[in-house]
Amino acid sequence: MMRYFWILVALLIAPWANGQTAKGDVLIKNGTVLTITQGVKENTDVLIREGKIRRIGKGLKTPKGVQEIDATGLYVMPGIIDAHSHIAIDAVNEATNPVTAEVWVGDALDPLDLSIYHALAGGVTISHAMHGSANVIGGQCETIKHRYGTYNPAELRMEGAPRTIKFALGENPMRVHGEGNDKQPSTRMGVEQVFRRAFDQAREYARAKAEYKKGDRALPPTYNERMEVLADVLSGDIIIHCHSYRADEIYMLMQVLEDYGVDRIVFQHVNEGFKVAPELADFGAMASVFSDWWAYKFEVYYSTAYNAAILTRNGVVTSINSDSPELIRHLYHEAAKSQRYGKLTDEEALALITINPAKQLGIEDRVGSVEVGKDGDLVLFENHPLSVYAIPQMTLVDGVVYFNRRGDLDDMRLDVDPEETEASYMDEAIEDRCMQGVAEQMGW
Amino acid sequence: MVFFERTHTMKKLAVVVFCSFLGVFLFAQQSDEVPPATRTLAITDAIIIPEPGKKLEGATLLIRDGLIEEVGTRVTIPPDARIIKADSMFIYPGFISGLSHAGMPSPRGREEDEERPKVDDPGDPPNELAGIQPQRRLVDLLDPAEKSLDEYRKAGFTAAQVMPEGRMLPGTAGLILLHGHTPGEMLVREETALAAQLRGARRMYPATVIGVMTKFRELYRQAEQAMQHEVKYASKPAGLKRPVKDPVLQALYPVVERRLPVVFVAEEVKDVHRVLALQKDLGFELALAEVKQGWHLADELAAGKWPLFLSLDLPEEPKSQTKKAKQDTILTESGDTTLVSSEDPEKKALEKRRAEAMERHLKQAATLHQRGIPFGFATVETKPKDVAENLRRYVASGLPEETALAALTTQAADFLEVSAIMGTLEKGKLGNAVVWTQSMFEEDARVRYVLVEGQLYEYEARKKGKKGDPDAVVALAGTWSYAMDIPGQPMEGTIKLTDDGGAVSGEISNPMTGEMRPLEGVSLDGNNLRFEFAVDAGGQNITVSYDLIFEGEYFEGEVEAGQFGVFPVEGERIGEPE
Repeated sequence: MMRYFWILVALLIAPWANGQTAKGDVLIKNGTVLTITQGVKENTDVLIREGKIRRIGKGLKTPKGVQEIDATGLYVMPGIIDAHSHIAIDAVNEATNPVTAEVWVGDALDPLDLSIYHALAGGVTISHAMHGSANVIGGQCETIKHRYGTYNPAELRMEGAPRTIKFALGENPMRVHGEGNDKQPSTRMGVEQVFRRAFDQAREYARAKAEYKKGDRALPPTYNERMEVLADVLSGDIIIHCHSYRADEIYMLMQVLEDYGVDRIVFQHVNEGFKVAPELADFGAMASVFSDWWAYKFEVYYSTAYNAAILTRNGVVTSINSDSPELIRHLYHEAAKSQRYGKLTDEEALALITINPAKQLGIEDRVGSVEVGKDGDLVLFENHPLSVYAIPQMTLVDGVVYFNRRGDLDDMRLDVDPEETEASYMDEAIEDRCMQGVAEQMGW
Repeated sequence: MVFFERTHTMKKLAVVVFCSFLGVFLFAQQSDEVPPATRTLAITDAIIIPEPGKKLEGATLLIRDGLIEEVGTRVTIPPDARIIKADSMFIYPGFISGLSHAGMPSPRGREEDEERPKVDDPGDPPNELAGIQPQRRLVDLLDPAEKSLDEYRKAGFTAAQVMPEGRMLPGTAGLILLHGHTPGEMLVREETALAAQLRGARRMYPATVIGVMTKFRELYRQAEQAMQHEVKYASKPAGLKRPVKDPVLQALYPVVERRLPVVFVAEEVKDVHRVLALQKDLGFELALAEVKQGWHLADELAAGKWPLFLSLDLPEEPKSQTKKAKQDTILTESGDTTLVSSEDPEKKALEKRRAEAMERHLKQAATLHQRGIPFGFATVETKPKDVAENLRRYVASGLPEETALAALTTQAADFLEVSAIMGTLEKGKLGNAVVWTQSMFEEDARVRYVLVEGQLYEYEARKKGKKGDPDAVVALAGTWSYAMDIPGQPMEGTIKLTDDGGAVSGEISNPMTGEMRPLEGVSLDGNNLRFEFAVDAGGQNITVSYDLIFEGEYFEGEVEAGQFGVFPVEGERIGEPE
């Protein structure tokens, strides 16, 4: 058994020897292709060359050096994308200040996290590794591809994906900074003021920099990472992903952003999004929600399993996310639940976990559907992915097979403790990852 | 979660318990040094390894006034020389630690257990609490009386690159001799590098690795900016804001100017990648220390050619469980009972992977050596007394002895730019040498003498005696020190023993308060002394039993503290009977 493991590991790792991420060449034969954007294509082949989808059609010839995968009787869909997770990072919250725009979870990527493999086993090929929700303006996030097997954190990065940043409204920042450290924000009003003050400072900083560049100032402003990042937020270079629950505060943030001329925002959780769905659509804001998870704190009581459907029907680009290393393994079930409640079409329901999260991360031109020219990120299902009987069989990233249910090994850990024989599931995280690390830093 | 909390509480309880009866009785080691009658020393008739790969038999090492005068088989011994006969002993160049805390005052207690220091705004704490102290200098911090210095010497070290204790930017690292009355006397190179670690502040900014990475970049760019400002001001001050001196940024100037490398502590593969990412962003000169998973990084390390100090802290083999396969009685379908092996295949597979991981750790040095990557050894995480054993484990896993020795001598000297004065036993270099009872790679080899700049330190050639000898006759009466090796909480104290014609009695100090309590249930069998006493640990009665083997002026053994486990203890005579 172990021998096969090392062969697999060698296969996984070898392509990185030259510092490039691995790109596969495969032909997936005769599957039912759920393209998401171009309908369902039966008995269809998908050819991937050098990690990109080259052709989609019937009866394609297998070019030399291309591995064939028989998908007869299987459903082929784009790799599932999770717009909100905290897997594969060693630090989630720098919870010591209400504004920490400067920190970046991309500095703490953990390619050895077994959760990456678990996510692959659930058909998830891309996740949005986010800073936590302890701060009003948290750190920058990182869009990662699940290239499990590498020891180099940089290999997880989805090269060229837009920068994103975490904001948070409501109870979490109020509790951490107001109750915890007796400073602003203690209330939802305080949260708004933290945004406004930070944006004002960043505007000043950007202005001073511009003046120096023009020669109107002898010296540049003192270099400040926080202001550099916030200035990029104000100029629209960074997509905001904001932890939120209540309609009033969601509306508040849209107004604040309007004042500062910022329009790229995705609301996360957004449990009361159904109350302000037309307003979100008008603003062009997007929403990433749970299918039916709520009531875990006071501000999350007013919720509904129809949220995703209501938002979708109001024209809001909506996704279903996990925020959990467990939920990430069955996002297809979560999408199916939203369909069951809100009577979404198959295409609408599958969009919740494919093209829509891709739009929210600004990567829809590269992933999120099965189209020629897009990345070879695919998942093969036995039974329709929205069926309760759906089982992911094989997951590919850039045309490379990272999960195959046949030959799936018992122990996929990359980093084994030399001192202790432990069971692989013993160190599973059970806390709410969004607030990970906070208790420690607060001394709770 | 609950499980972890309980473990934590247990640990805390253990600390409380130990503090309540064992505690720390710190005795500063007095240097009762008398000026030597002669500063000329000849170690004769030894096997001398003047540098890795060379060997002289029946040779003499002659040191005069702190410098090596001669090394060879035909050395004329001057009449004023003190002669040490070292028949069949091995003399090596004094070891150099690539990075350590030797000579640094030990931090007080376990800081993780302490409350957060009072700070107005945890988001913007003062630099010294945030661990941002690059301006700290060894000359202000070194303590020549620090006992770690002797621990290092006892392990064969004569020099070390040293960094201050701290967090993200603890100060400037320098190279010291493990010897001297003042910091100035100890320092060979006051500045070898700026020390850095990816270690956040305690419950204040920057608390996490993402905070530390960002802060590092920001300080670096601020230093660049401040330097430009100073240059501009120096050439044309009129109309320009006066530059403000910031000691933190000023300490970074030589790094920005590439005159001083940054020595980064980076243990795991992820840490190293993070440090390399910073280096790539900012372009500073780099040295890596305490690296533990280098086999994943051979390509990067080979390409970067940075000074590299691998960790001498190796993982420990798990305590071997009962060797015999456990057997369980089960009820068969027919109603009979039968014996089956309860060896769980899943456990077996996990154990196999653990063993493979262990093998890779032990092979780290050999693997990098095979890739042609040079390295020294760092000892930030290593107890000096474990160095010899861990070195042997590296060698047993394929590291050539020559390379192991080079890592401690010539290669370290090369990385630290002191090859002209140390690293080999050659005429004109510093009189830094270590004399082992036999080849240092032999299991039973012990350090007998250490010379630092010609100053002789002598150590007892004792043997590890694990088993008691019922026929041994030992003189126990007198005062003894003891040191218990409790993970994270080493404890020390004294034991006073009186011997009334075979009836041994005595008392032991509380390591916290120094208060003495009488020993109970004392029994002596040959050189095996046992005693115990009961303590009240917050309503719980715990029996603490000592089981010690005495040999000459030393003892070692175990102390069992009820449910808290068994800990190694050792000690030595510090006073004669009153």
